[in-house]
Amino acid sequence: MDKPGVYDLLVVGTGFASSFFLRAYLEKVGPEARVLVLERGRHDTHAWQIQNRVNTSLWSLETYLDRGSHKKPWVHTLGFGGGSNCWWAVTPRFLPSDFRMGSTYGVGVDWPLSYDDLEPHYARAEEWMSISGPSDDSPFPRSGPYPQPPHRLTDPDRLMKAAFPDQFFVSPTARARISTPTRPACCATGNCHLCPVNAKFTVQNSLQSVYDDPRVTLRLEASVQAVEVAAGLATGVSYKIGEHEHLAHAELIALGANALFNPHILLRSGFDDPGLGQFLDEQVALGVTVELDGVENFQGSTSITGHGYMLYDGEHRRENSGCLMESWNVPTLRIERKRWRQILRLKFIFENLAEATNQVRYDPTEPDKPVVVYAGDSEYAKRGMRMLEARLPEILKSLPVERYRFDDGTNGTEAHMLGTTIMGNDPNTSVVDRYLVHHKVRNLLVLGGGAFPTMSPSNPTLTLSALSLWAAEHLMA
Amino acid sequence: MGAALAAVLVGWRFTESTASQTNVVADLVKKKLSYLELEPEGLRQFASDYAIAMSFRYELKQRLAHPVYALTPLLDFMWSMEEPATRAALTYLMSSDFFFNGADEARLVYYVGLYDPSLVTCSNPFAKFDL
Repeated sequence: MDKPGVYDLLVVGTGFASSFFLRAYLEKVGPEARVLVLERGRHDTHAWQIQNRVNTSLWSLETYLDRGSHKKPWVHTLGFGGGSNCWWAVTPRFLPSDFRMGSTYGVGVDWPLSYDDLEPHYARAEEWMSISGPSDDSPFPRSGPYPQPPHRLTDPDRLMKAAFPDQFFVSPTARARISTPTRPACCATGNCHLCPVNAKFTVQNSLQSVYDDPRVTLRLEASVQAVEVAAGLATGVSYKIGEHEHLAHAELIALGANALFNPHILLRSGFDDPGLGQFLDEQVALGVTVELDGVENFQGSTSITGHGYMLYDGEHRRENSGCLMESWNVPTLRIERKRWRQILRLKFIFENLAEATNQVRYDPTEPDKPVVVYAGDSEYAKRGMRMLEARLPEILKSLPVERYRFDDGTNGTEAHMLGTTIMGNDPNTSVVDRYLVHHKVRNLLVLGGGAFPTMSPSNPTLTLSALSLWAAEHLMA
Repeated sequence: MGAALAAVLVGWRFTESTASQTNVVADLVKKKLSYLELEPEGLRQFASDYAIAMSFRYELKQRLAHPVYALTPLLDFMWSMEEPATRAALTYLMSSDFFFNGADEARLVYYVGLYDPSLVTCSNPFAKFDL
């Protein structure tokens, strides 16, 4: 049962955005603070996930309605810990230019904060996740070293590093290089969405203490219906557990569901902000298999070992998407005798340019399911993929390439839902301000990747986690 | 006409029973890894494990082609035959002690356990962890 009275904070969701915000909040408030956390899913433990070979007992693809012209899965994990259960723990920072795409390249808009604003929060999020990263250099400015030593590169990685010393780096990752108090070291099993040894950072294995805090009440299987607003302030949240309806009051509310459910909750609550639900998108990836002549692969110490920035940043982003290259260390052999390991898998991840017409909508006849309307990858991303076809030989110049082939089509999803509650300085074009506070309802925060005004080719999790710390610091200042 | 009928009769013996699928998988592995000596009992066990875990099933065309494909190179141009054979053989290699023994082709190869990274921890034989 809800405690009587008013909570100091009510948090929706238990994934990265919510959990990082909550931990930062708890560090600042006193012992009398009272927090309610509502999680729609169940607590599917790591052991349960391994036994059942899935991350959640709730099938995410049945939680929304796809009514767009382009069908694609919007993959997410419903359950305690959210996306931290299924992620592959790839944690690059964004580049400084990712925060100012509009002013630098005339594409999209600038973020209302800079890389420098976020840098200390990046460092703190990396500390909390015990990130392993390059020890000597990195593609983005850093105020200090990574918490953990770098993972081991493969032999093909080392050749690329020698050829592109300023553009190829050890991949930063929350797959432990050395053991932590709650996680063993990664042993390169290559099945990170269901890590059998629990080596990657998850909310379950590393932030459980936040939810065990006596100030926090966690309610599972709680489906949020609406944010209650009176006199311009949020007063509480209505939610259902099973068929039972509840109402909890709070002084401060933080929505940290995801980029489908956050806007859906707001739309269902009657919010009509310009841009709410719009600019839904994610990155798009293309795989390449490279057959090598005489170079063996797979000597790395984790599943994804290298990051290539050769096509990431530069003037080409005025016309076409930048892309981040991942070098994979998961054994995918070739059949030829004595050449089993002379093969390399690369993945190229392109930023999309979100369109306002890609949306999450609310349909009163289907009130429990967000409606997704998506028209497909942007021309900007498609031009980026064509650029790759032209420039791939240059990227592979340091390798003894026998032949290479692109995958048939792009990956179906990167499981990186972004946009829909974007941040900005102008209430006429954005939903939340630079601190993720709703422009009009000033005791309501909308956390997560939904706030990204542009998406970058980089994986979003570290950045959205750092944004939660940035928001919490501002709030508690 | 007679040859076609013979092919059909031979192919028909590959029913959908687990036992016959096991035989097919074992044939495929032996064909693709003919340069290795595979411990027979372990190979049978692998073929059975693989057929069950992968829900391995040949279509009618593959069943008919299998006797010729398994014993000769005449049908090696057929992707529908090569692809499942390659996949089974590579899974067998990862499921055996072959790479753990330095890919020594002179050694008898033993089946260790079906390669399944989600269940068998730290099963990557190539990974190195020196700092």
